[in-house]
Amino acid sequence: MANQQTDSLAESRTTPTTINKPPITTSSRPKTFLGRNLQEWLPTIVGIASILVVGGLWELAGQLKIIDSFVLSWPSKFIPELFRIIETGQLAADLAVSGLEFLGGFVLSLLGIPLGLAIGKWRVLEWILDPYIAVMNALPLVALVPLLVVIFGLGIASKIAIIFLLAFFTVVISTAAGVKTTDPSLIKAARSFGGTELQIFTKVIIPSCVPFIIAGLRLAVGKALIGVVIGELLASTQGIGYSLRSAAELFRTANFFANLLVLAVFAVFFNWVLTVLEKRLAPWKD
Amino acid sequence: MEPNIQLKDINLVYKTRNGEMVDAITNLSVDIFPGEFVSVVGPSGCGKSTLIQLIDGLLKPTSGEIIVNKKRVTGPSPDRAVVFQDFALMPWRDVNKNVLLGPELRGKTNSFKEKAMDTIRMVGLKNFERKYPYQLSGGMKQRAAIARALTNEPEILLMDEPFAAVDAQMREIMQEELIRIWQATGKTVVFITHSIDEAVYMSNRVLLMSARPGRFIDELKIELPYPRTLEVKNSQLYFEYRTHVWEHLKTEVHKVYDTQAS
Repeated sequence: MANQQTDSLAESRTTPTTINKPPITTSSRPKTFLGRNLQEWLPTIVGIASILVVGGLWELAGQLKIIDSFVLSWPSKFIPELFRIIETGQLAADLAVSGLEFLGGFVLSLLGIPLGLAIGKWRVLEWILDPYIAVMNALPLVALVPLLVVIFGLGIASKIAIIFLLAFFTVVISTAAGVKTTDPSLIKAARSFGGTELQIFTKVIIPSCVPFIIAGLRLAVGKALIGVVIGELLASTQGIGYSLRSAAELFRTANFFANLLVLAVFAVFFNWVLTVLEKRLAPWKD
Repeated sequence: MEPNIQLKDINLVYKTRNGEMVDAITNLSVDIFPGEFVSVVGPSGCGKSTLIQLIDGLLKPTSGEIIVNKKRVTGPSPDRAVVFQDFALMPWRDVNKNVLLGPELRGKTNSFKEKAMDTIRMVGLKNFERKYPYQLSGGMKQRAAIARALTNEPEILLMDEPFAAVDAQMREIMQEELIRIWQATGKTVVFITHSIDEAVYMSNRVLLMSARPGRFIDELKIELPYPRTLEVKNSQLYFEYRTHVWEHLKTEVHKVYDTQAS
């Protein structure tokens, strides 16, 4: 009886807490498109309009011969060129090579996650490895490309190596920073509820690192793309970077911009994937 | 009645970053009895939170003995649970999973699922089981933290300024609810607060702590009936208790103020 009373009390007390629910808009629901109302689409619409306007001005500048087709290109030239390299299979061949390099180097760099966790966890390991990590992080690692070519040759392996080096240390540093910034009160709470050191690591520290790991991966994607392009620019016989270089050397500016566009699309795409991943895995951030 | 918490001559000395030795707590002794609601008030920095961590077993005293249920405390144990001031909820866990933290860490999630549902209902978070802490208000987060502590079925609830981060109106509601929960469950509650009003309003007994190094300088039995209605709050006796606590605490607060000012 006493319990029932307290229960009904508890339920009545939940009423004021419902203020946290998002405002319900059944009466005057705005029009929606793909789950977003028109207001929320506005930034996207303006963004697209901006691209169209700038692209149009660019095109106009080209048509009016304000820019020189010898050194620059414009949309009506490089967009058809893009379709041409898709048709001839050149783009697919380049992407196969560059994609493999990117994937190989990036996947290997994921080894930075366990290493970063270990460094964050064991201070001795941090002391031992910190000098190397500091150097590798500060050094413009692309300086190593000539050496990597000597070691691994002109093929895919040297590119995977430079991508790995560029991405790996970024991942290590972000992950280790995540371990160290774990909220001490969460660790204390887990300890208070009887958590062992291992449980604290797996159930508190690792989950709290997730946003840091994803932030590291996002930076790593950027660095890996730099690795792909630099590696191929400097020493290769195939891939997007190679095509960019040869296009520039042959003054095939339309081809250059077509390849650049592909690169930009991929860079933006990977960034988007990681943003979505972050929202999924760490919705409590921001 | 046998006390279920005994602090015997506790001293705690800690080392600061610059190597200075600081006495946090000196010669502190107290007996707390089963089912009691005991508040600890004192000036800021007097070691109130340290006291909670000592009883919980998160900290070890430099000397002295802490005995809970006739056993010497060597570390945290399920017979005690802490409600932290900053809630300390795992942001990646929803309310239900946060509440089940204790059982999960002991590998007993399944047998506590119903208990978790009960405590979630008891603290008024029914229908919020799947919400994440970032989707909750301060008051609701603290309810979740209380539910987490209760789900672990402790005998003793250690509360470290639990309502300090909750807004003033929510605080009053939470105070009433905590009394209700305490009366319904019969737990022993050790309640840290810096609010004299809160201490007098909630407790059977108020312990007054000195400025650092912390020790108990006085204790006051609050002989007011529960539930403590507005009438009780407006009574002469309630007013006298508050005045008494403040008179005794004033000099200690001034000590802290003077050291901070200098």
